[in-house]
Amino acid sequence: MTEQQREMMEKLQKMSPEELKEFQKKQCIFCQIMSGKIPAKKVYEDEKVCAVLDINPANRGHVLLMPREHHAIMPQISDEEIKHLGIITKKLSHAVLKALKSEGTTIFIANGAAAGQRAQHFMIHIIPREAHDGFPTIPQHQMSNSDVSAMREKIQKTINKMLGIEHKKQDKHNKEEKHNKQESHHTKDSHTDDAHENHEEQHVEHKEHHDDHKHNEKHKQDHEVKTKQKKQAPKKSKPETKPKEQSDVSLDDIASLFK
Amino acid sequence: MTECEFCGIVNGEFESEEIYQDDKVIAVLHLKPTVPGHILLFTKKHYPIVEEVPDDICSHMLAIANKLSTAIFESIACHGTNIIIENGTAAGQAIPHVSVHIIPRNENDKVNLEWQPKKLSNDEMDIVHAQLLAKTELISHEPEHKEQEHGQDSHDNNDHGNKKTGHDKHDSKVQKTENYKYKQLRRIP
Repeated sequence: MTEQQREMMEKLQKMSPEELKEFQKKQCIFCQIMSGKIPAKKVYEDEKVCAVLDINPANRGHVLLMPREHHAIMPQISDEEIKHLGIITKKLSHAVLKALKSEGTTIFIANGAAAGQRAQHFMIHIIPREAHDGFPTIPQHQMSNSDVSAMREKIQKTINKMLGIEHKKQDKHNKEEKHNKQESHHTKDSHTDDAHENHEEQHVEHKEHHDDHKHNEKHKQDHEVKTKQKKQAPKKSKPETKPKEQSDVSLDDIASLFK
Repeated sequence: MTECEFCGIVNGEFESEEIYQDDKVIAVLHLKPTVPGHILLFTKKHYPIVEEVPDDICSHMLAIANKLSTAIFESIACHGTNIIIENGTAAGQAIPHVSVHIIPRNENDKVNLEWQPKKLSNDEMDIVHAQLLAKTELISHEPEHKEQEHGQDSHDNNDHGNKKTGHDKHDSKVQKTENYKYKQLRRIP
């Protein structure tokens, strides 16, 4: 790494996510393509997305579908945009099959440089395929059952946490109330449905706290208390979260992996 | 139906390491993963290829794929993820049931999913562009088959309005080519 690169890295590390996005946007070739500053062969566009031909195609007719809004990687994109992308991906794939009489398509997304992402603008590759066209296949490896199970637990915990929060988002403004409920929870019989509901809300809140005040001692204690309560709870509707150190990788860290 | 491995998982006939499910999709760990944490996400209903999946399920599936990808970022601290759909046997699809691979990636993980770019001449690019445009401009005209409106813009319609004369021709082609979807899938042993 040259001195210049290192300086750049440091500069990027210091930027806020908003600054980083703005910085990327200015340099982004694909944003310029969509605004018409750089010419490209567009095959589809609407108010949210735009699709162009890849100038270095894996196969003839390789299409890149991008949201107009600049996003480095997929986790930063709103559900609404993702859903629209999903529908247009399907239709473009269909168009590719029909127009080029391909035998199939590969729909390919790379998030992060480690996954082979070159541009900093999120995109979906739609690649026409023929049998034996030399396109890399997805390798498979044997894995022991116990390893697979351990992995499942880890990922399942996280996805449940994520989606649990989603469903309870509307409760956010009730935070104060929840605090009160928690106090009373100690004395309640945890076998009642009521208690179980409470328990779920804590689960949600616990994550919020964890995110917002990772290093706050007071909250750590809070966190421990809640965990104890969880252990007492009889139901296993959700795979329980013992206070696992959440990995420190935040999405902004991931975004900054792009030089 | 039960001949399909994925339908077997949905029915509970085959064991799986399930990670997520809702009324439309289910996600399990790949038993022969590219790397540990490799997830397979597929529709509960049996659709051989992506083109047959209704819009609402298709968009839902991508949204869940994104959530799962985010979950792997957070739970196993990988540096990146690949989300891949192999659509059709020619694309490497082994089971005729639409599925999405979500693969955690790390620097130096020795996984090679990168393709060799091809160089096309300008003429070739122009030809393929024209070929694709002939089909993609229909996208904005396509009727929503019973799924919810997804906010296709209307000014596109106006832009391409003058080409509408070609529609009938396209339609007949559509019907003729409809079989290709199944042809390739029947080849599966």
